[in-house]
Amino acid sequence: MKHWLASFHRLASPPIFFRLAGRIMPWSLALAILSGGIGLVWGLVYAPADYLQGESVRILYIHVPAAWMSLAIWAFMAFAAIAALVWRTKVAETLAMAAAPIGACFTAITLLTGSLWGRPTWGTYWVWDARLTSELILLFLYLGVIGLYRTIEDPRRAARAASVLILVGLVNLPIIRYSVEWWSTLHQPASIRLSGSSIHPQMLWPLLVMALATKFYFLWAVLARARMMLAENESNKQWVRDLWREGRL
Amino acid sequence: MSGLEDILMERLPHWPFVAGAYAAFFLLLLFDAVQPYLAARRLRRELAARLTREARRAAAPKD
Repeated sequence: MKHWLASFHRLASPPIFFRLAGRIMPWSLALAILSGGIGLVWGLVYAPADYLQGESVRILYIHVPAAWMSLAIWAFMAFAAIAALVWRTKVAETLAMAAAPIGACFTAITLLTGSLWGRPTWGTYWVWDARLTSELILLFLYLGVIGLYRTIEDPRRAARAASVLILVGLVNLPIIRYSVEWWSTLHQPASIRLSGSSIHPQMLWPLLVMALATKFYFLWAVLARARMMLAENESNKQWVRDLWREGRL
Repeated sequence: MSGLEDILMERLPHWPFVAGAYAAFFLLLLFDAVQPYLAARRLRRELAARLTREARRAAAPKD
């Protein structure tokens, strides 16, 4: 336990985090490309078309993983925000802020791909149903966090203010998750639950592989962004100048 | 929706929607993925300018 805590504290040091993140990044990117490539070919070529949705079911191999990521990234940001507010570590603050644009990107992908799936399946690009509207609110919350962080000049104060907004926005996650059960929506209820899945394995597996690819992509992207934000915020410190001189920035 | 679009929807397969969705997916991810590289380039340029300025100031004769 003591050893684990000591490792955790060491990770809170920006130069150590920068080096460690640099080592993890190539692996996470390679795994994202590999699993993404497999998932794409599987979903676009080998998986069968749906008997009702036809070929448009292939949109779900990117829509569903992106939707999961939009929720998971906010949850990740909430953990980092709690760490930032309780322990006041720069790395936790930076991780929370670095994840926000990636989360906004996945939420935009969810809304766009869902809209393109909705037209051939539902006959409309958009309806103001509870699931779609709460997901749109999530996009606005992501943009709010990014905007708030950029508005305040001192990055540490900005990160703490944005962390509070992240924790407030946490209330939207169960609303998105259970919107299809609490209200009568056009959006269908969850097909994959902890108790099992109603999707045929031929369609389920490429979906899970794509979900894995988005996780590895997020790991790469959040580390890449956090490294640069840390270096930018600490550009007056010797360790950043040393990295620049050694050409490792 | 226009009548023409409804007729096309009935006759065309769904591939244009699939292609549009995958294009949106890759364009947005690409936009997201290049941001750290742009930030690194900006930071390198700023650091180079700042350190050169500091070196010049240090080398300048003091009154």
